[in-house]
Amino acid sequence: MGPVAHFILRRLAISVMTVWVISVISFVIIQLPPGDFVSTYVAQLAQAGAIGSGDDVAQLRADYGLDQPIYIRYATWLGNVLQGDFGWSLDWGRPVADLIGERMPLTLLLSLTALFMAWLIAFPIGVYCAANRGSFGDYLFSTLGIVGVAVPNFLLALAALYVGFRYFNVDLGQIQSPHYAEAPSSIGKGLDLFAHILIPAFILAVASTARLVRILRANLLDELDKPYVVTARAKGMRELHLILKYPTRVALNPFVSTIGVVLPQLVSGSVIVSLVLSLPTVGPLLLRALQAQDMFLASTILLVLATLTVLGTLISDLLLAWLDPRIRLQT
Amino acid sequence: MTSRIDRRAVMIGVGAAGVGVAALLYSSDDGDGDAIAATGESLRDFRARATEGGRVILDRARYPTHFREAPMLAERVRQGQLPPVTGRIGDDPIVVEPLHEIGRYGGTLRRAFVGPGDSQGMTRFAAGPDSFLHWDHDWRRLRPNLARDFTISRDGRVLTLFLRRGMRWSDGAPFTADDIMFWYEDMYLNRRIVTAPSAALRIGGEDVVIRKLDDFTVQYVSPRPYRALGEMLAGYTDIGGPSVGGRSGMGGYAPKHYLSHFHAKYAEEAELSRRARAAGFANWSIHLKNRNDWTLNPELPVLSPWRVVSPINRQTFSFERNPYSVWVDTAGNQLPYVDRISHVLCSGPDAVNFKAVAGELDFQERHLYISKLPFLLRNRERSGYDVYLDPFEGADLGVRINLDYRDDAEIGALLSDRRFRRALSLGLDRDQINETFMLGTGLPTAAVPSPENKYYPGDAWARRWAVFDPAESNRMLDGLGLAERDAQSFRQRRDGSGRLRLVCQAAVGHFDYPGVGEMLRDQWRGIGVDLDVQIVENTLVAQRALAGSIQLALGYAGSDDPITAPDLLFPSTPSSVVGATIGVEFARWFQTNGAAGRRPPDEIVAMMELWREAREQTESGRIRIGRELIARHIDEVLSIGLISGGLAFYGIHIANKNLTNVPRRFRNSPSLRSPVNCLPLTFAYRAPSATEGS
Repeated sequence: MGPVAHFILRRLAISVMTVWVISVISFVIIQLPPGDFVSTYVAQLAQAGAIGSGDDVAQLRADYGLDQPIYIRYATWLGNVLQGDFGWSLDWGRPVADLIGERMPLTLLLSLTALFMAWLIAFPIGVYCAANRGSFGDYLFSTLGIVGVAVPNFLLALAALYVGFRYFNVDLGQIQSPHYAEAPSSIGKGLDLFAHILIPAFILAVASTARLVRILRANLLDELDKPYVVTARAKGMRELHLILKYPTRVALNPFVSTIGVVLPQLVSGSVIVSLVLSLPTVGPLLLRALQAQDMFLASTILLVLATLTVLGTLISDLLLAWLDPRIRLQT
Repeated sequence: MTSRIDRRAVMIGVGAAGVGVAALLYSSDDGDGDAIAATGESLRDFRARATEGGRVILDRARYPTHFREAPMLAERVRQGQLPPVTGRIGDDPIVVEPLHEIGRYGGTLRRAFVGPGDSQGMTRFAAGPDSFLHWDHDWRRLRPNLARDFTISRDGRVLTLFLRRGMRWSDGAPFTADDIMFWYEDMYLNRRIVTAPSAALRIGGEDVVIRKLDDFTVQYVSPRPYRALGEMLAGYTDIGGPSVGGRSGMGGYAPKHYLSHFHAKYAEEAELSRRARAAGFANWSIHLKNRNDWTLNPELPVLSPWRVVSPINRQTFSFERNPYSVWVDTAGNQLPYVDRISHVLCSGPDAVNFKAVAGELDFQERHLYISKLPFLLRNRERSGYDVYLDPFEGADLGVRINLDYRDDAEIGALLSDRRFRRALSLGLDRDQINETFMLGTGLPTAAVPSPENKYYPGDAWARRWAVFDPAESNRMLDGLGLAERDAQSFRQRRDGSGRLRLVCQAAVGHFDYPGVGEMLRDQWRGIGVDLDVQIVENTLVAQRALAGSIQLALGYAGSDDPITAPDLLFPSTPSSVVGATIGVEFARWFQTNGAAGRRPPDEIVAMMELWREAREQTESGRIRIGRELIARHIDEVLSIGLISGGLAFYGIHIANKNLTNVPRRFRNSPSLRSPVNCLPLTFAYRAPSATEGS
């Protein structure tokens, strides 16, 4: 077995172990607070109106298997997960896979749009700022960038919601025009959805755009004074061509190592913005599942997030190893 | 090459622009201060306005003889998919007179909900009402509803229900006495489905028996006089219709032809268990109850005017007209007028308020905050809706007291001492609370119902122990052995273990309870009592309540309907959150006739006996005892009432300007399941609505 295969296998084994440990921890943590789903359920029934005498708490607990020790519940759940059955959401009364599945397309669409928007905006600005250090444009974008990082995106969402309503008479929380809401899928419906998603995606993208601009600018500045750049410049290479062809490629390395963070953010990054705008994504589902102690739903979402984080780290490790021999040699 | 510009100057410029935008946003919010007064005309006198709503007509001379139906149903009749309308409404339709006019058919009514737990929105709107009897909209007279008529025997022991001949479930199957007997014998009496008998079918510690006389007549036979049974059938109770109780096996009737397929008496138990497990349920009984939840199961036959097409655990929660609806208007049009109801899922009440203001909702009464009232009012014209106010029947806001607190002996002893409770109540400035949190719209009183309520015990009781008198309060507390104070002037515990500190639960919910809690803390500081306000999620409060570990909790208090809803009047319902808060073991003792739980103090036992007596009495006797119970509650300060008759409890509703037959004020009480008491099935669009035909 070659060193590369050995490296990959080792990483894979560690990843699987990590996911397993995370699944244990998340399952336990969800059950740590006093009470369980049945007490939440009874409490909700009791709140809905004094009706509840039909449900005996001990009986319900036995029926849902909540009277079993936690390791048995965990083993049952994990066994089912391995067979592709993520269990039943006690709160929604539906299979967990369905619930997550129906929210996944919009979640991914929103997050991917935000991601590409961030890259598309950040890249030219970052390069411009580095190449024109100290110019008015550099200061302007740097200031905007600092503001962009500092302003929490939920605040931005609130402000956008208000401005949209007050001055443009649109509800940003509406991701589908009313006449498309219950219409069957069509190209028109897809375009309509995409148009409605642009502003929420932009709100999500602002902070990461600003951060990427800062990173790209800093990295590029490190490179611009290096002798190979001076040499290329001395040989009469055109400035734009030079910057894009050599130092920018080196400066892009950090983009690769952030993939580990980006993947789980695709799923959960939009929690608060989605709550504010009332968008049907996975984020609010997770929040609600945690509040209601809906353990299978919460555990599954956490497991998905953990898996994506580990997978993202793995991918970025492998990419970096491929890019940079020194990392491979360390193993 | 590049001109160097002062970084600081750019920062200042951007900062100034930000401040400017903020100021612009803020300035447009001016003029909130006296929103209600500023709107002048209609809203200021909301309390003087009469309550309104559609009416059930009992005068047979006014009954229509020709019947019509909605175009969408007429089309299906033409295609042979449905029998004609006369065959669907049966021989005895419920005849309703709309509030303003005979409506036109069509349209989709847009509403909002906040999640799978928010079923009450539809139970209290689209369900009909689905009880056999119901109150008229102004809570004066008990009316036949799904039942054609009813009688109560002279001795009060037998209530006879006469059913409507030819009435059908939403799938076309006939509704008969067998559906009541199926519910009673096979669901209610089956301990696998309903584990404990309901207070609604118990009198004097004994069971009420239901029996069938013929297909359209049933009797409720009680061992003792049970004259309040009619009210129980009409109220928010276990026998008040399956839209409320169906999910826990209650309701008072159930579709036998459908549910028996899920019942072990009518099918092989092993096969049922297998099917239940395949559908994700632990056993057949949970599966059956799930199938009997109209918000979750579109296949469930219902009697309500609308039936579910997309269940509550989806992104949209929607309803379509029931082709077999038994309601007609005085012109013979089968009701409802509106074809569909569609709910958008909101992440929380804030989103509901926002959608209301954006004109995306056609009728909404739940989750509208009083703090958003100025915002709601300001955008009426541009978004095309009207705002109406519906003061709550009971005490919107009060401090619930756990009368059986055990976790701390010293605190428990004080909370169960009426002198201490009275002193706490006298130490509060209700006017300040009213102005701050209710825009001055509530009545600063003890835990009384609003003055229009038939159980209102009189103005003297409304003020009893509910005036701001810190001097008297301090004197009373000093007299309880609490005179010693620490450096910050807080009273010391009598057991010598430091400062006397109470803990109050403030749930995060449809009202600013945390804010009220902070104000209580400031006010009680004036009488040297320290308060710790715990801001907690609603469900957690519920769990603590059921565990008996709450000292004080903020919420509505007392009762506007002492006979059918005594939960907060005295400890009576261990399974309900509100009931459990004020003494879960006392309530258990009451519910089990002393077999379990703990015996409460004599003055509370006396209230329990009075309540039992009231249920045997005629209405005038019930009202007399109901007032007496409320007066005793106030004199004992079993809860500290703060505001009554205010707008905090779903006291605001908005309606699309194009919607007709909408009440400008409805009687607002859980017992009436408002606004269903106004018959929303008569709401209709005047002109073609924006959403129609979508």
